[in-house]
Amino acid sequence: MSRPLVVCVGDPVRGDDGVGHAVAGAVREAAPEVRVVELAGDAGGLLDCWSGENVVVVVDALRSDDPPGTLRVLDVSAADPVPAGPATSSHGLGVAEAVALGRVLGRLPGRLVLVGVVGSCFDVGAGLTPAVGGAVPSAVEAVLAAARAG
Amino acid sequence: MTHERTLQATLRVRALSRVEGEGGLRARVRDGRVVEVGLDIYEPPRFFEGFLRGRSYTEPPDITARICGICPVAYQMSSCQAIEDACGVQVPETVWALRRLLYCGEWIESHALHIHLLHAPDFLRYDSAIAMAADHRAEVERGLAIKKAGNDLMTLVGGRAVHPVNVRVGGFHRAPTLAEVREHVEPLHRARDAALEVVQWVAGLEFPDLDQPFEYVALRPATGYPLERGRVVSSGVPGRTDSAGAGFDLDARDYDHVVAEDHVQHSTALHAHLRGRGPGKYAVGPLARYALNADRLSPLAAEAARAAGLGAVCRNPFRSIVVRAVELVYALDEALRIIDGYEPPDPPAVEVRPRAAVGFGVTEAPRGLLLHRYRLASDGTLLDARIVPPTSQNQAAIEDDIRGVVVDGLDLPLAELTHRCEQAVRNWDPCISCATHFLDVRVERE
Repeated sequence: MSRPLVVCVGDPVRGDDGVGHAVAGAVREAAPEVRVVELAGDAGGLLDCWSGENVVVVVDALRSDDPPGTLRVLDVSAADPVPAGPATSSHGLGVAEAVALGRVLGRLPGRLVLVGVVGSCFDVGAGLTPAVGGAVPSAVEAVLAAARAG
Repeated sequence: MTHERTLQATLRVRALSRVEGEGGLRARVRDGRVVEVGLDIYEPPRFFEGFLRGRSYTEPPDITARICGICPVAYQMSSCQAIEDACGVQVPETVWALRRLLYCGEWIESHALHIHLLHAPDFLRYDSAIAMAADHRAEVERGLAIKKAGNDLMTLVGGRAVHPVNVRVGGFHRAPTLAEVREHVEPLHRARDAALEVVQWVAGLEFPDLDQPFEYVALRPATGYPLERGRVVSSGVPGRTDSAGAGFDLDARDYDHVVAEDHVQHSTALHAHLRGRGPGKYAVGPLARYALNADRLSPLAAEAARAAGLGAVCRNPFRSIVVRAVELVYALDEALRIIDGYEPPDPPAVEVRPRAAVGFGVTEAPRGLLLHRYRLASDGTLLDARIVPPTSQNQAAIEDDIRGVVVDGLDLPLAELTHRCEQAVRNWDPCISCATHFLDVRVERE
């Protein structure tokens, strides 16, 4: 049984999109037994990363009407729908498309949980907004809970 | 009903899917004639040109790479070349070879993505790659595997697959070792075999008829198929025999004078045209590269092109998917050739001292020619920047295609005609994020 894999998605220079990378650092410190990788988040990279894995937790920023910093946990294995689009880039297919493609191609891990943090500012060089920065500890808890429950 | 619809209709695509960036397309038909066609997009490169003013001459490769997540290498390569041109620096052939290898990675990644996930669903009548994957699993897996070979090459040379961090003015921060490079030989061989199958696969698709008399413009290097350098050559204006319509052969500096960009009323994006060419459209990208450099393909890629039925010139933009597949074979073949003769540049970069000058750089992004121009102060501060991306240059040609598709398709059901117009846009693999997000479709009856 391989160790749980935490995949942190996003771009650290694009404001709240850097939340995945912030969580990655904190998870590494808190739980050395968990494997952590950071990805830009394109569908092909995600499929390659999680194919054949047992337990995978993906962390990414979300756009939503919920207040910034709100945490959303989706258990994809339990067939929770993954909200898709409007994508900021339809050329690089993202997490939702990777899940859909993985399902069609039979390339989802044994258990896949998505942990999303609602962001509000994705400007270049902006850093995390206070609401999102403040949500990092609870995102880390959610990630570890999902990884350890696997 | 069909007759009435095609005599008076406005076809509107508000958000095109499976293209990079945001934009819309409109076509209006009155009295059975196409009276208006527009592709409306936004152009972030204009803002980037503003950001660059006042920055250091060492920064454009990293800043302009952020214009696009699909073709960052193109921006890095054109900007390095332009800065080095301004500073009067020649980089050694070992640096050029490594740049070409990195560029091959980007072409492989971009073309594999476009062919399999963005363009093929149009021909096979699926709304998305995901829907297509359910019925064409092997083809989608093959595309993803080829794309991965490109991503891995980008990571090897560029430091990571998206927005590479290893490129700098004068060369690279670090050159991969011979052993690191050779690890990629086997995966690239497999990907090349797969790409040959891709050419056969796409050659068997059905292509709507469209014959476009565009002037083709592409790089032509001293040897090989164009990627990271070369002179800018043109096919000339088809059908014109006078000297004003003749083909040209220019360096980047002269091309900068020839290509003009205008604002058009329906879009904040700029439309490029070639000065002195009259109303005819010009085009950059795979069809132009192929038409002007088919003799430069490797024997393997040339044979794949022949077997796919491509002649010396392809004028049907719907068949660009075949040319892209041939270029995919070439990029994989070329990457293997470069690796075979690879010598790590030592040092990995040459020193580039600033001087007060203007420099020009032009390379072949996956979707066409990309021109950069920078004016430097003596201390290396950027005073002025100009970036002419391929999609800006192709916009008028794309609109011409939409017009042609509507004219030829007035008897088609409106949904079919709308689909074909979207497909016509995707033929060009437009990088609107070298503009922005995405387009959707709306049809309005007048």
